[in-house]
Amino acid sequence: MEMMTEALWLLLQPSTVLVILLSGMFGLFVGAVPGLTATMATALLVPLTFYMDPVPAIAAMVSASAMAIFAGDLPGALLRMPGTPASAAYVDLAHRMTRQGRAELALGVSLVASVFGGLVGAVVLTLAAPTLAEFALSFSSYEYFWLACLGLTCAAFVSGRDPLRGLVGLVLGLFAATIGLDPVSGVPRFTMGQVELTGGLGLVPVLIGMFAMSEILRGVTTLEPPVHVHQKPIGNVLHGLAPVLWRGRGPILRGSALGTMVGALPGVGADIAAWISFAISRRKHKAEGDLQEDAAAIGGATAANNASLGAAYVPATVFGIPGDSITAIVIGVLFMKGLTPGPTVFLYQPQLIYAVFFSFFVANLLLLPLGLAAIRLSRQILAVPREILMPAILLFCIVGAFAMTNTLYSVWVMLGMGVVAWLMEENGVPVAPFVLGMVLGPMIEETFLTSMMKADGELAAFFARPLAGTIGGLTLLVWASPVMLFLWRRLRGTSGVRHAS
Amino acid sequence: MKLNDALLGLVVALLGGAIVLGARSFPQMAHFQYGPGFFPTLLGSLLVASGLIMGLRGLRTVGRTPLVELAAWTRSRRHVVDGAGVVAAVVFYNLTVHTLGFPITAFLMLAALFLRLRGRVGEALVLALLITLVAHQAFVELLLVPLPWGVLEPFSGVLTWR
Repeated sequence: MEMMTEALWLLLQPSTVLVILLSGMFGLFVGAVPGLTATMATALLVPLTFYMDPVPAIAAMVSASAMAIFAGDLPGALLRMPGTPASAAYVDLAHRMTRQGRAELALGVSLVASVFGGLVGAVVLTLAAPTLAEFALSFSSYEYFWLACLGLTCAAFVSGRDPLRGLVGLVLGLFAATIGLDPVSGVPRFTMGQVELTGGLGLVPVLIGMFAMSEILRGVTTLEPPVHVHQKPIGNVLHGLAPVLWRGRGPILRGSALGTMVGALPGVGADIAAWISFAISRRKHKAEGDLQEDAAAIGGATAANNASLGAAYVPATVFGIPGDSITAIVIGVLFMKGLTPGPTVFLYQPQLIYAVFFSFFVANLLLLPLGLAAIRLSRQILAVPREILMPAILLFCIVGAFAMTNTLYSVWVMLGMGVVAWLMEENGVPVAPFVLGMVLGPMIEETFLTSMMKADGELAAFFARPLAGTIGGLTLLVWASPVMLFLWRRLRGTSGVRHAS
Repeated sequence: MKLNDALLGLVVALLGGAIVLGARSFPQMAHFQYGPGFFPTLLGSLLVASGLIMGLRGLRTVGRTPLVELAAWTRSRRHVVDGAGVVAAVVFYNLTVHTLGFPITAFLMLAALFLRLRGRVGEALVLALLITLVAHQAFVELLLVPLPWGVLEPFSGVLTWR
């Protein structure tokens, strides 16, 4: 209990609350602009968090990402354009409600269901993570090795429509992590004689390049015409909202629960949570056009994407395995702050970890007033021209990348990785597994090598402990599944290999 | 720039091969078979395998789809120049910031981009000036990032509040 009050004390410092407030407003803006994602908001915050204490640093990212995921619904409803990929599932429906003159209801349901989903995710995180962490204390390098493998496999297999492309993205990220000095022997690897490369590519310039620079490139080359909001001013969104929410409580609760489960899986993020929740709501009520059912479906999906955000921190804080690309960034920041994510953090610095968890509650409660304001201002936010935003963001990318190392080398890396990410996405190779691979690469290699040193190079040791054996077996099963699926389809004589998943 | 699966597979496989070759030059460790080259070799081999599978899968579509498919925007000269302009802006920044200093370089870069994308001279100059000032305030004054002053070095004392 004493620790909890200490955590609250840490979080409720005036400067920390100010950081949460400002980054929340930043997140709302970035999320509301189509083409700028919640991941980008988080990546752009990284250089700023470098100058903060651990708690405000993580709280800033929590706040920005939670607000951005909600704000993605604004252009979805008003322009039929998802502000972030997580809102893509229900833009059609939300926009139809707007055309029917019910924009207030669509946005009101979005806001309240988002807050509710976010709070459910936060409760589950606060309750589940410490229990899991106690269990994880008995893990050795063997278990961590398999967990990291399993997490990466999930990330590669579910991130796109083609698991093979996901695998390529992942392996490229793992390779990017090997650039620099080898952690065990100290031999420089793939540095091509460049002194700067001995320190590795650097996570921050890579993140900014892949999530922000590439978006800028896409933003200036897109053929889509600039957006125009023809929407009449938005009235009181809370008017008549309560009965609709109450009757839609089923889908909203289901969406929150589903989002929490999906979010905790490594590599599966808010967008997939929203898609699944929306698909279930639609299947249950096929009749479209019923206002109540439409609102409930939107509520369920938007609760799911906000719930998944908090749940993604469960594997991230307990095992150091990111649940999505946002937590991959957060893990990178934790490492920079000298906080190695894992069960020992719960033992030695519980107040820090609880302060991070509590920041979810604060951020989601703040989402209510800030979200209302954002809905009011949505016309003005959406009226900011893309051609003004992109150069401004570009300057902040450059300075942000530079600020980490104070060398222009990081800016070159940022530019290079931006172009690489853009090329990858053009060819359907997903970027998220790359980033997860880059964060988890060192952990996989080190746990493998230390395990092998302990076991004198005996590979069987990876299955010698019951727990490691179980997780290892599961991982091997997942690895073998595409091959087995392929063979099964061949035996049945069907040729649906391309989209095997 | 979208490559046909056969070509993309080939590129991936070649990259994997290069990684494996590069890893062979790493020193071996005494009494331990998993040296610094082990993990990269594994990754390179995985890339070779994935590239080959992708390539074989793509061979069936060769002839039906072009080997290199350029996106629709590449046929619009304006968009190609815009995209190249963004990359050129970063290159310009990197090459000149140490001599010209951050304020001048950032202003020039932003003004050029705004002019290119919006086409209004007055607006471009005002916006570039404002954003440069905000960035300078935020990063140099508040966060103490040592952005280079360049030719403005003699005036750095006058231009800061500190």
